[in-house]
Amino acid sequence: MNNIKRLLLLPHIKVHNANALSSPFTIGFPAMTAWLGAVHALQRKLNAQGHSDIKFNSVAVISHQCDLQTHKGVDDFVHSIIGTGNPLDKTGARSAFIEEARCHLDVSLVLEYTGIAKDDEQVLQEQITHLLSSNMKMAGGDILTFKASQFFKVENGNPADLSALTQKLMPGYALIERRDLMTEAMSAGQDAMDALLDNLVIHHHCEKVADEMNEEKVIWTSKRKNQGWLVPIATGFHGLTELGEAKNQRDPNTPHRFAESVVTLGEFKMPHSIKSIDEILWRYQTDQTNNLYLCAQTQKIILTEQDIEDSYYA
Amino acid sequence: MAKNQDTASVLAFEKKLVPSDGYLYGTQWEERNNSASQTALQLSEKSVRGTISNRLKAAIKSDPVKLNAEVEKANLQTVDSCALAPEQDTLKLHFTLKVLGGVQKPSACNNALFKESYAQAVNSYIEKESFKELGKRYALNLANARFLWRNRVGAENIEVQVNALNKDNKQSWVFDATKFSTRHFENEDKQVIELGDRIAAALASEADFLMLEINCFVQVGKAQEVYPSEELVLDKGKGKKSKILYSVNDIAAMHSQKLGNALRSIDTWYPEFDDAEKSAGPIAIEPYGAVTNLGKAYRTPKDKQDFYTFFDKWARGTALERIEDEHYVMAILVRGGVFGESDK
Repeated sequence: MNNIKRLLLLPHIKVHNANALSSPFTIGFPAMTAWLGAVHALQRKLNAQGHSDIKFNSVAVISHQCDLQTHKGVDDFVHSIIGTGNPLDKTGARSAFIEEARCHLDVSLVLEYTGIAKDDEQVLQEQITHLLSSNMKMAGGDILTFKASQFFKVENGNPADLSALTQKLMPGYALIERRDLMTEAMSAGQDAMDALLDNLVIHHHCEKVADEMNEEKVIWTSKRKNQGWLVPIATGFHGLTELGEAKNQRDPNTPHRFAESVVTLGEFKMPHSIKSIDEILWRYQTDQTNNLYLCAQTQKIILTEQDIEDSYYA
Repeated sequence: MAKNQDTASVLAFEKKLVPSDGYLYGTQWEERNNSASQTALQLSEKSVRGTISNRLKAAIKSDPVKLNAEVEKANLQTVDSCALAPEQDTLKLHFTLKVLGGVQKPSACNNALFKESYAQAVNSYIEKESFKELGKRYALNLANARFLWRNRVGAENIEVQVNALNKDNKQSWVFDATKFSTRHFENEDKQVIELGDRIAAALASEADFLMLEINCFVQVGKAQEVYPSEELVLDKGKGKKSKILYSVNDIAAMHSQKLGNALRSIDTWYPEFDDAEKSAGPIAIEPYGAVTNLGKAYRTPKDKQDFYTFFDKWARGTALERIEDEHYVMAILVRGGVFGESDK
């Protein structure tokens, strides 16, 4: 077992007008499938250019900024989506509005790779720069600018290696999976939707306490069920039909299957608090028997507040 | 099943001119090359007492009492606005523009036969024209500062600085935008041709790109109002603001789409262009020649002047009558879009 991870950092990619429909019923940060898809596309493009050994095995996504295009006026309870005016139709009439949430992003990607020799690193950096500038999109958005890619080696259990990388990711938030919260709630009998909502709603709670004058006071507290910046995220697809052919499918040579999104909980977490790079890496995971195509995290250590504090001041 | 063997029901092209948002700054004309003097413009909210000036119903118009009551109503409005600071007389608009190659390949196409005949058509166009005409027109739209839209009107001086940022091929151009017309493209300025050639080369390439940075300075007068993009919010909720302007990180901005529309306003090939009465000047490249602010489509399928009529013939190997029609079809592909065809 190799203890050293070779990582490629693509820092501060600015994406313009990315698709912010993160799942069928939420808007926000683009779905995990978008990021793994973009990295997979990059791998395939490099493979086609003669680097047939390169493989990007897993990916970490760090959000530095996500500017969701919504508007909320004074006194409004909800945000409304800022739309785009679409061109007129053939009669000169206004075409129908389709509400599509968009966002502007600043993200860094960390790719775990195999198949890049030390001597090739510089050539690859240039090729990746060219590919990102010339024919890549991310989450449906345009890539405006990005900083030069960097190579890192991180030995397992070597904090100096890890912090050299995580320093480059700050300030920012890595998206990690919190499926454990869903599993926990669902094994306690909640259904999926309730478990999801229960973790997102803010619970207002009041308590009556007697003060020193023995008068009753009411104290309100508002908090969520669990700590941390929890968000609903889409992490993959659940196949609904058998593999087959559908009318007007996008690629006639690849079998088609209707699917629904898999939605679960995720958490945005500062990368400085992680102890192992595996905590933020995502990889593809397919489950043939249950028809699941997922982006998942393989290893996770959930740290308590205390652990984070300890490691911070250690 | 498909009736024709070469019907692409899924067909899409990515845009090849990719503008960023345009950011608005204020400065002074003499100080325009000194970036220290530039300040980011911010939106400000103002509430004004308007007047009732819309056409009134006959019943109200003819009754003096009712009319009086109506006109006396305070028409209170809250709007966003954006203006230069009192000591600033110049607006700076900054954006970047990426020109991409690879128009030979659709981003999605589900029919191999169609793809083949399409690639042939594109390659023969590139061989014949190498995008020279389109490149020149896009360059002229940078040079004439059409992308300023309303900010261009009544400006004393306009200077457009264009820098090519590609690592191995840097180049700079400076244009006096007032010397270039926005009504036609007959211009043989050496700098424009040069910039146009760079754009054309990127468009004609398989996978190359050109990165341009544009800084435009407009002398509009001290403390004058400037015009960022307006946001399209359909459901404004209870909030009373009736005009919401666009800003990014507290810098007033113009939408990338709006800049893109100006850059591709190169269509002088539609039938009514030469008709002095009906002409709208150069219009934006659109499949139906639609001009939003006129509410009119200049290329209707009825007249067989729309994109689809041309494209269906051209992509399957039939030559078009005029080279201008080919320019138009290629410009649509540079614009990008979803052009799939029903197979029924």
